[in-house]
Amino acid sequence: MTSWWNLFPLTMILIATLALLIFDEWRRNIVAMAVLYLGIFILIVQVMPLTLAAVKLITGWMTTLILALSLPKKELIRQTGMTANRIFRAFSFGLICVIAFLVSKTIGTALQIKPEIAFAAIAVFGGGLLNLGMKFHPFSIIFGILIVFAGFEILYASIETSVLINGILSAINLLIGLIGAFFAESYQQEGHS
Amino acid sequence: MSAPLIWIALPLVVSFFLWVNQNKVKTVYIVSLAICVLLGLTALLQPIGGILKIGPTSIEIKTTMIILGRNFILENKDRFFLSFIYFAAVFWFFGSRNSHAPNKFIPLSLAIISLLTAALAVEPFFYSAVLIELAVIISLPLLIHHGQAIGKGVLRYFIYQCLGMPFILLAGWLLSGAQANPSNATQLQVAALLLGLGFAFWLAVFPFHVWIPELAEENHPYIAGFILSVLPPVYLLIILKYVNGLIWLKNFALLSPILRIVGAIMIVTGGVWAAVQSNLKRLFGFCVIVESGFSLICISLQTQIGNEIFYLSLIPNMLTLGVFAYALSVLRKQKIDPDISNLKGLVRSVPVAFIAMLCSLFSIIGLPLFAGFSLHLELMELFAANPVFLVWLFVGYAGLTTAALRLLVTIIGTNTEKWTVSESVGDLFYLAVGTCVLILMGVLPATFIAGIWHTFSALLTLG
Repeated sequence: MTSWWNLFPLTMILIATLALLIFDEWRRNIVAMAVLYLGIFILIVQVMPLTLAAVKLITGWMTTLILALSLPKKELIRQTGMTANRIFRAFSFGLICVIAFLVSKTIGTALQIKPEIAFAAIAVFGGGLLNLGMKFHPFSIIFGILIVFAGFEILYASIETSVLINGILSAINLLIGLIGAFFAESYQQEGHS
Repeated sequence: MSAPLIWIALPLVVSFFLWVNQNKVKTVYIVSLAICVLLGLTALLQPIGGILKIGPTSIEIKTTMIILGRNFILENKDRFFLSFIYFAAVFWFFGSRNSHAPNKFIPLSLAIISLLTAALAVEPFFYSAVLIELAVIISLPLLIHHGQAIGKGVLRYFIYQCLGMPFILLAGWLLSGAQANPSNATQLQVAALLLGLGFAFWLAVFPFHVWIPELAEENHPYIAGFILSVLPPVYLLIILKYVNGLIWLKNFALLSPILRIVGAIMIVTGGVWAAVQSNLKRLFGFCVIVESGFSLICISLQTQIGNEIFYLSLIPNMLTLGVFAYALSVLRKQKIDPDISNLKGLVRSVPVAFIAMLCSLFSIIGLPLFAGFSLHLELMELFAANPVFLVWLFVGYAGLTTAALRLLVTIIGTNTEKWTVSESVGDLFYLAVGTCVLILMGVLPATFIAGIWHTFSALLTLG
């Protein structure tokens, strides 16, 4: 690690991704999503202009807010305690983190980016894939795709400075949030009918 | 005025206004058809970079539009795609009212088409992935309806299309770097792997293909048909852009065999799965996979003739899938379950829809006298020296033929119904014209297919 203080955003990112993976409650997922975007902002602001990094943070939070306002009030699943399911997910994410740690230096050198950024990107991307693979509820899929994109954007922020592309990527995040809202509306109407 | 402004920005703005006024069904229908006919004809007749004369006014049509430092370029060689996509839009919009597609179909489809055009126009072309992603996101409201459960197919479609984008963007970035330093073999291999994964997600290559039949099964056939017939050609054109735009990739010795094998896998898996399908909507999905596989094999040739077959196949493919999807919509309107076991003898009550469906299937298979025949024959001849490969293709097409014959045997089976034509006049017109064109393209390939080619061959830079 080139800067020890990056441990702080890394810890935030990993805890948020883990929380998104092990919790099925939407409220917890919303909070974790907001924390994830904050951690990503602290990390990527070191490699891209503050304005662009701020755009990513704001659009990330806006997406989270859209989801928070639209998700059904009633939780679909309420789990308590440390179930075997959660332990398995946490263990799987731990394995992904180990793999990310092992390959981060090589990828960092190949892409000429800081190893901690490569580590965070791979861990979050992998966590998102795990989320998509293990949960198949429409909202979980929206969260899963947002996590995958968040991981990708950590990596891409270091190598791409195009305003247009970063703008479209932010727009894509917002639109995914809107699709989440659309899913929620359909879900609620389906419930009523 | 620039070409991207005409063929990208204008339809996007129009689609927004149509979306706002989507309840004025007739207005939306007429305006969308008029604008697409106009854009298609302009692409067909007006050279880009030349002067467009409207009465006393002369407008220079420039090739480039710059947005936030990135270029959107449409040149004369893109006129084939532009006229193809806008006439395809006319074809799909024309049947939308009779097929009972929802009001949002036309506005959203027009927005999707303009974004797909933008994806092909953006330079550097690595960035096309983000515009494709936008088009995919815009297509989702077409597939989700208030009060209805969100199907697995829609979710899988969304996941796979989203997963494609990061891989393509990263591969594009790596490849652009590799252009400057081609000696870094590891970087090139990683880029090729990422690119392959990205396109595999997008094109639904086995084992990422499950979403296509599911999407076709769960949704209105006309909407699913539109999405599944518009997206794959654009992906294939992007593959061509990569192949032609990156010298390293063009000269990569394994590119041709990889594309060929992937194409064959798509035809075999699509065909074999189609043979055991009992649901016609799912069968439609597998037909899409087979068509994409055929196009990939054309591209794999990396020759003038291969590209020629690919470009020429776009038109019959679109027509075939359109007629098939419309015929499925007629069954939906008549509340007929598309499961083959429930279709016994039904050719007596909805004859034209079933005949059109069978003609579409025969065209996809490439049977003589149908649109796909001359193109399939040409491709098979090119692989005459590789019999093992041909055997695999025959396995795939044999599967599809089995499915078509199963359908034929079922619908002509005896039942108590008398012969009637229950399709509406609009349905009859659309299906009859579509089927006749499919047959005419097969019977008179020199007139139809070669005629199209003579119009555009000078514009396309192939090879």
